[in-house]
Amino acid sequence: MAQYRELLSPIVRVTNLHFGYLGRVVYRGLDLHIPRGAVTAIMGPSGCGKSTLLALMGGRLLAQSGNVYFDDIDLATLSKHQLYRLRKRMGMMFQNNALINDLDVFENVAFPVRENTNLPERLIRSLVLMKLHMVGLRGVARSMPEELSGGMARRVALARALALDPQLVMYDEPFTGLDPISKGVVAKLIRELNDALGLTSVVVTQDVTEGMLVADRVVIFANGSVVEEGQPQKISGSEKWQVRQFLDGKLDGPVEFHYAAKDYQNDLFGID
Amino acid sequence: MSLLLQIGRFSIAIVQHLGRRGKFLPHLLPGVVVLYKRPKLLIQQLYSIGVMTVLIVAVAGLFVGMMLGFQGYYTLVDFGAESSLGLAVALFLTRELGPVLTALLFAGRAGSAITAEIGLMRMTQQLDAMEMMAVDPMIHVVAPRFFAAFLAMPLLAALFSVVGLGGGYIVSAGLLNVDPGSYWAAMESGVDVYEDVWGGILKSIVFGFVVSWISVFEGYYALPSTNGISKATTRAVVTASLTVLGFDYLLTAIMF
Repeated sequence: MAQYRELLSPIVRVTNLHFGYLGRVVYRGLDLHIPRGAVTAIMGPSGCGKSTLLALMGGRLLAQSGNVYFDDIDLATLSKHQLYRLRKRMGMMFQNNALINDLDVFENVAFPVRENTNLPERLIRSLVLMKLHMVGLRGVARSMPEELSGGMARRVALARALALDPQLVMYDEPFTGLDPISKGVVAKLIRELNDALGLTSVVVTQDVTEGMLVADRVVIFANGSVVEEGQPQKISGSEKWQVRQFLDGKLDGPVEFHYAAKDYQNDLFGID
Repeated sequence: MSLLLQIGRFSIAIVQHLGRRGKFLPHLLPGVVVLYKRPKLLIQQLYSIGVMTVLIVAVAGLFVGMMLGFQGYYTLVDFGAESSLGLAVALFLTRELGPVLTALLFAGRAGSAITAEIGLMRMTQQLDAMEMMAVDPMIHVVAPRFFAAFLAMPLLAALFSVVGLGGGYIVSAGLLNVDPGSYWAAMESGVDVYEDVWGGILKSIVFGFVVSWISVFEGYYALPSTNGISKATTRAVVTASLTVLGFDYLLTAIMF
């Protein structure tokens, strides 16, 4: 299966990407590909641009130079209408779930289906109940988002991300703020749904344990570029100092404990 | 020098802000498709923006009409012209106070709610999630609120004026013993439908456009933080109120 995947063209290609905002450089010539059918975990310290990459892959941000291709289509060349049509082939689960507050669980999952198709109500009902059943939450279909626990809301967001049967699903920090049981449930769902539905998954996470467990391929980011990529075993055994600092949680290393500042003594005495 | 620099920066910031507001309109107006494509969304917003503002507008209209009754009477009685009280109350309400006070109340009650709601949707990534679900938030979230506010404003201003006329009547006929017949008769003979009533309605249409435009713009571009939303809400109310008063002066100068 893994060899077969390698023969297919990657679903997402990022070439020589440069991006920055508010005077801060996020990417300097990033090259990356996301293979079809696999779960790719993108890991790295906070602020290294992992979530920004998902925004670029979904066309919510545009590269300042370089290209982002989805299924060999350059996102920068698309009109708004074409981009929206392409997004029907993508699903995304946001870090804070981003469920629509004034809709119940059922309507949240039904939302992308209602807005993008003309399916009859009976079919929408069956489809939504199937998606909710997949994540084990058919029983809370009529609950409001604020009545759900963090783990349940995350699973509803997952069901909604899968509502249009996308080819690519992007997960932004899916394990953040969850208890160990909920983390395990979400990790199992990401893995099993990817394989059962033939999806491609991109998981952006800082959670080393769950990320390694769920992924076929891991990419480690630092300082705006990829420092290591490969199967989880390869990453675990990597001797690169940027990788070791992140995986072992070392206080100091390439990512310094102290953010750049002027001289400490001068600062204390108010000398410019 | 630093004062000059600050004035320069402030002026540039204002022009930039106005420019961004202008650029927002071409994105906003195509959302008119929501009127026939998703009438349910528009009706929901008409209820929460329009119907929920009826009480505050009606109560304010009643008190303002009663106040006008007293003030008008004490001014006119010196000239023995208290029989023209109905006309004075009606002209004040239809030409000025109805449209202007309704717009100010509307900016405080509904405009601030629109800004805060859209800003919170931005902060909790609901707008980003809609974009990723191939749903344009400009059509699904912003346009229904904008058009509902735009449609509700003239109706609320008309309600304000009608209730205000009733308030003026209660005071003049009930408390000040002005002849009820002359109250309505002076109004009937002195109020011009085109110049006064339609003039007031035109004002309220312009104010409705301005208040809803500013409210949705400030919400859509609110910084995604509690402080950002708080500032955006304050900015929406203050800017909308001042813009309404400015436009009122301009329209009055042109129309009457």
